[in-house]
Amino acid sequence: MKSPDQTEARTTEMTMARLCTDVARMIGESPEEIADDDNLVDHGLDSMRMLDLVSRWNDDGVAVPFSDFIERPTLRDWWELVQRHQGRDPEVS
Amino acid sequence: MSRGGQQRRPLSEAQSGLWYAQRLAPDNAAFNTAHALWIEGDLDVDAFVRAADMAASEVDALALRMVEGEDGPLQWVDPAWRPRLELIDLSLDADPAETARACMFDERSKPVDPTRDRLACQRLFVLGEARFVWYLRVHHLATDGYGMALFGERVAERYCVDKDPGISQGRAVSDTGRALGSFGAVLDEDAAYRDGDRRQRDAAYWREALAGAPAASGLEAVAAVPASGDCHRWVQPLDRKLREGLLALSQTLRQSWPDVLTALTADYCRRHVGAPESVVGVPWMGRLGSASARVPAMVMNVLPLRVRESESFATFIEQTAIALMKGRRHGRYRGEQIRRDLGLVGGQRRLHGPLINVQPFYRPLRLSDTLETRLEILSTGPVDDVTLGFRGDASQVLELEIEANPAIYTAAQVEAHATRLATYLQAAIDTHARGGTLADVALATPEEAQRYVFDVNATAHPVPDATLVSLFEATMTAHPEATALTTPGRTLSYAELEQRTRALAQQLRERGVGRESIVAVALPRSLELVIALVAIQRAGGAYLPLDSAQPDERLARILASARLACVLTDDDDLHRFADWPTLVPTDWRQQPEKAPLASSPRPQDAAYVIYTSGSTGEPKGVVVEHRAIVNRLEWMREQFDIGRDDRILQKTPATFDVSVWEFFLPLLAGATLVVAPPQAHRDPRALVSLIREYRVTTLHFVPSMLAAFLSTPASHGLELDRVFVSGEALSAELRDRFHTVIDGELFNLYGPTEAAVDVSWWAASRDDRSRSVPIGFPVWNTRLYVLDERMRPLPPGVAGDLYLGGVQLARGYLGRPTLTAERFIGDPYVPGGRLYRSGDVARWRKDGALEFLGRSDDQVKLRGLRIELGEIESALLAAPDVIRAEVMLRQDLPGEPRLVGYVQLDPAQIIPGSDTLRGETRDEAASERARQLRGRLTSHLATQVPDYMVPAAFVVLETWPLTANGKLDRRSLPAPTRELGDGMAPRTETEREMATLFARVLGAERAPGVDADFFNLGGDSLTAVHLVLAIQQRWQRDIGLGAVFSSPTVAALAALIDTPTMATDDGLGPWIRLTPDETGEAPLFAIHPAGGIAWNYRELARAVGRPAFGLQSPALDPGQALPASIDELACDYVERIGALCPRGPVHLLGWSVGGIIAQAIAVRLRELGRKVGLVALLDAYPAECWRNEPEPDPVAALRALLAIAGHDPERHPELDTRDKVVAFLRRGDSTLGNLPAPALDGVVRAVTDTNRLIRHHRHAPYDGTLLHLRAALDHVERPDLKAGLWQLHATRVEALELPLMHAEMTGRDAAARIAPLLVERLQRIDVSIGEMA
Repeated sequence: MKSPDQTEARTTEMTMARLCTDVARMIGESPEEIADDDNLVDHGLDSMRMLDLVSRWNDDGVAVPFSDFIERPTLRDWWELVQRHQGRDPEVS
Repeated sequence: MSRGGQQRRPLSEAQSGLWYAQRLAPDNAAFNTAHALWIEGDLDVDAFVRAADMAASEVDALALRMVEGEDGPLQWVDPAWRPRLELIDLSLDADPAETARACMFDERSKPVDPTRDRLACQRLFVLGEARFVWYLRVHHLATDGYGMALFGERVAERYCVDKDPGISQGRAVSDTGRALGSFGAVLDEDAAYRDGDRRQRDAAYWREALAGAPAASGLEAVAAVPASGDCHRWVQPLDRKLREGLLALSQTLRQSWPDVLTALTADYCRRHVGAPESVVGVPWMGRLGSASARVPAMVMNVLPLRVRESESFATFIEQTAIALMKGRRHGRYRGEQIRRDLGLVGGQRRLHGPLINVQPFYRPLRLSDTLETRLEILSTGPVDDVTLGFRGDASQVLELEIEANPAIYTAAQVEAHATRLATYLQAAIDTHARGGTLADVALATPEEAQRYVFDVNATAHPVPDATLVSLFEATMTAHPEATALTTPGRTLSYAELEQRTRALAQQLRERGVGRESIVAVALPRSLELVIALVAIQRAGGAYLPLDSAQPDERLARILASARLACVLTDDDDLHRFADWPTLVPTDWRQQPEKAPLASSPRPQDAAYVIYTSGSTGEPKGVVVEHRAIVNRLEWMREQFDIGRDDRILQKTPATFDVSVWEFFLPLLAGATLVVAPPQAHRDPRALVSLIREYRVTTLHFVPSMLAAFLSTPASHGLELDRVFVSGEALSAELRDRFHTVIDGELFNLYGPTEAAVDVSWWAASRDDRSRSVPIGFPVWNTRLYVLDERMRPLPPGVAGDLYLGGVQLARGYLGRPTLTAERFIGDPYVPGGRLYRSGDVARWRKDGALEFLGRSDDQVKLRGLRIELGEIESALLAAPDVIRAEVMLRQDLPGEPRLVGYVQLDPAQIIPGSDTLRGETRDEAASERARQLRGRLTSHLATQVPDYMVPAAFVVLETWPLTANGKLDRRSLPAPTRELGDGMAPRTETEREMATLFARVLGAERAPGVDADFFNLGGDSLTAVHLVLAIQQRWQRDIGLGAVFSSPTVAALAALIDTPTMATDDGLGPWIRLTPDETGEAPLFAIHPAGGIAWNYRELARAVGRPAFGLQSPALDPGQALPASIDELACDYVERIGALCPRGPVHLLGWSVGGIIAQAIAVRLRELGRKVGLVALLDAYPAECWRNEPEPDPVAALRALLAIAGHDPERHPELDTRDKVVAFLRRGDSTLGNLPAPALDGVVRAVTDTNRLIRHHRHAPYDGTLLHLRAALDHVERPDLKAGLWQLHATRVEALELPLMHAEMTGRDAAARIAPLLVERLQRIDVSIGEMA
């Protein structure tokens, strides 16, 4: 389930929407085509592209280590990770 | 596997590969990965120790123990094995950092035995108040680099948490961070993959992806060598301009920058190979979505990546990125398995060339805000060839890190690659920005271009503005009394030569010979020949030598294309030149007129015209001017200090341009020319006589003739000042052999006829250790370029086309302006200069010497003679019925190159019904037809081309093998043995019958050709006995087993039968030859085991493939006295070795008892100052092990024979008398069973006698290495029998274990396992002995 809340202010905080969009762009698909629990590897995401993604998110202040991300590559898991690192409740808003 | 669980599990696929690699090379420490973290600041040591220990307790892999199980190796976790952090205080040391370094180096350089040693070790060195270094070493079986990093981060995390509980890397967690994951889960995942469908799909993907891939090659075109020891490491940061350019390029191409970087680097690698396609390796982490994401473990895999050049920059990057992506999807499939699937196992054939490793992250390990840390990678595992690594995020930093196998690359080469690669990457980025393609990027850096175009060619040297004529006329005037020419029975002084040649020159001038006239010469080698050549030049003309052995038609074509003024020939050949003005020696004027010669040639006039083979069938005449050849001869005279005291031998036919310096150099130097009689150059013994009689100082050989010369005993110990070789590649072995036989200097020269004989030279001296003898440095006023297909210079080590420039270039081809313009082009680097496109492929060495690598076209050299295959193909096509023809130079038997012609016949012309000649079998009809065709083709060719161009064998084809590009696949053309091969069919009745016997004994359907080798056809010692018996039955002649071993062909054995008297070689003599190989390598001597016979080593010797002899016991001969001790026996064997191999290093091998004797022989050889290489002991144990064994009685000795014959005596307790044992052996049809009674007695004697001697023997220590191969499946009752027992008797023991029983160790299967192990070591030892010499 996505929450593309368009009215949310643009901050350096990661949102689920941005997560989806970044991932989708990296694998060349549209965000609608990726379900929350899809294994992103099946969508063609490989470690090189992931490194790219993660480096950018790290640069933007999302301090999740790469090794955590690669353990379970689904949108849902990643969102949980990000939330945890931003000090929020992992429950999706 | 639960934490703390002891359950034994098999290794993962990734681990298995490493396991076997380590077991095969137990001394290799390269499998230890290690890093050092240098820490500055107020480290809380206790907290760090706690952190390191706790982190270690989370990682099962670090505590692994392993054991070899029945079905393979097993592993389990032993908590006691966990690597606790050792604290080492060096703060009171004089130089703590240095001591720490040395300690770390020693620790990681110790090879680990996974069945015995801990896989991991960690130490904290205290260097001072605020300086530390944390050392971590883990065997690759336990982890890869990612795992090392995980562990390091976990230690850091625990340290942080320990210091600041409640805050962990910015997270608000209250625990100790997140523990690392379960190793058991990683193994589960691996097992699931191994048994799943996914693996099949992955296997299929790789099979398809790599179908037709080229063979792998590194950056230096050297054969692969296994990795061992520390590699060369070079790190350099890439500058900001490059980083920004790379990021921008990636953005434009819409690819990730790591993939772009990988692709560009892969192209750099491909350019070194010089092929349109090559294969590199890329690592696959294997952690994404895997149970191993947070587990230190060995998961990493290396995948092959095919790189193909492309017209478009963007397409190339895109295709490479796609290949990377697809490969990653199937990345779990092990690279080692891919290699097996492709059949690349065995030898050193690799799956991929260089490894390209882009690691796009850069996160320094952070311990705390107050500590500075620097990570130093000490070792990342074995580097087979070279790893081109990049580490960093590109936006802030990107470091190039090259690791290279020091056996292949020198440190200087590594540094050169770093510079070259960085330059290449920048150039690629710039080129793309300009809209160019990758092919537009030059491979050499600008500095390299400068060096290898200009610096190495700074050969300007003053040469007199003269002609041959002015130079030799000066000599004639200066030294009239000196001997100019001599030949058996005749001598001419310079004064006489001057007169004779002036007389003839005047005669020629009267016939219209002047400048630019061409006079053909068809005279046998004699003083007249020399006079003719000199006279023609003095008359102003150029000479054209003709080979009277050529067919008329070819001769006619040559004569027609040259506008001849005259032909100088003798009475014998006069009739062949009926259409031309001729002048025979009997008509030559002897006395000159008083008047001096009117005109002499000018430097730019032609001096000679020599014809060479033409690719389209038309031979071409090379015109060389005086100034060109003067440069060559003056250089030679001064470079080698040729003077009046020299005597130069003229032996090379005048049609070969080497003869030019033989003829004229003496005349320029005032030396004496010794003219050999006409056929002497073919007879080495005649040459030796000439050399001795005339005290020749200087002569020339083509390498294959030199080899024959050195093989002639008469040549041994000859003293010569200089020997020049050219015309063929000079091998290092031949160079070395030369220096053991001849006392003199050896020089290797290179050059085509089109460049005045030779353009480069190399001193192939006694001290020269080059494995590939270079063609060397350019001569005076000469330029040599190695260029790519766009005429750009190539860096050293990269093969390219060789272009020649300078004053020695020929004017061109006579009457062939188009051809001349094609081959003689403008020099892009020297305005107004010319270059000759040699068609040779070469490469530069760093020292500025050139290495010759071969041809880029269809020209070949056979015994130094230049042959354009096209000329022969044209001639074949002119034969009736031939609709397609190809010719190849093949070397199916080592050392025997020959021309093979492939023809396709017009189907309409094949005689119908010829298949069913009445009364003959189909095979015989086919053979007969083949013989007739061969005869026809040979006769036809003999009228078209010289004899040396007629193929030795022909093959008829109906279809032609093609490559993927649709071109003829020459490598797939079949060897001629099965077709119209040379010597195929039996020629005599004896041969016919012998061939049938071979077929019967071997169970083959068709009788083999007369040159087929019995053992190559599948025979072994056992079937050899059958053959001997069969021969005995048919001809009542016992030729002996030894005869079959030493000359195992139909022809040879039939010849033996037909020879009226010959001694029987029963194979029981003091030595036997185990292989017919004459490779020139140091020979292997195999010492007999208990039974005294060495036949059992045959399989192993043939598998090893170098010259090998078996030494057999004197006890086999009842007439011989027995030696009193092993040492005495060893001395006797050493004498035999000395007779068989008087000089040079030898290698030794012994199974069982043979090993004990081999060690004693090695000791004795060393005492005598001989070099000993490999000493291999096959499951042999020192004498003291046997001292307490009971002495065998004769029956026990015979039962030992059972073991020798490959039977287990324990299984036959009923065989307790001699008769029973012998009957059993005879029934079982073993080799031993068929021995005649006296021989069997000899064997028994050998067993008992040797046994006695062994028990009394005391080993002297051997100052060298013993290689021990243990029969690991045996010795249940004597587990004390181990390699280590030899440590008392040798400086070093290298121990290998093989899954074999003792009795099998010389069998066929064992030979297949053991031979590669020996070959690798033999080659390595040969090289290192060579380097030490």
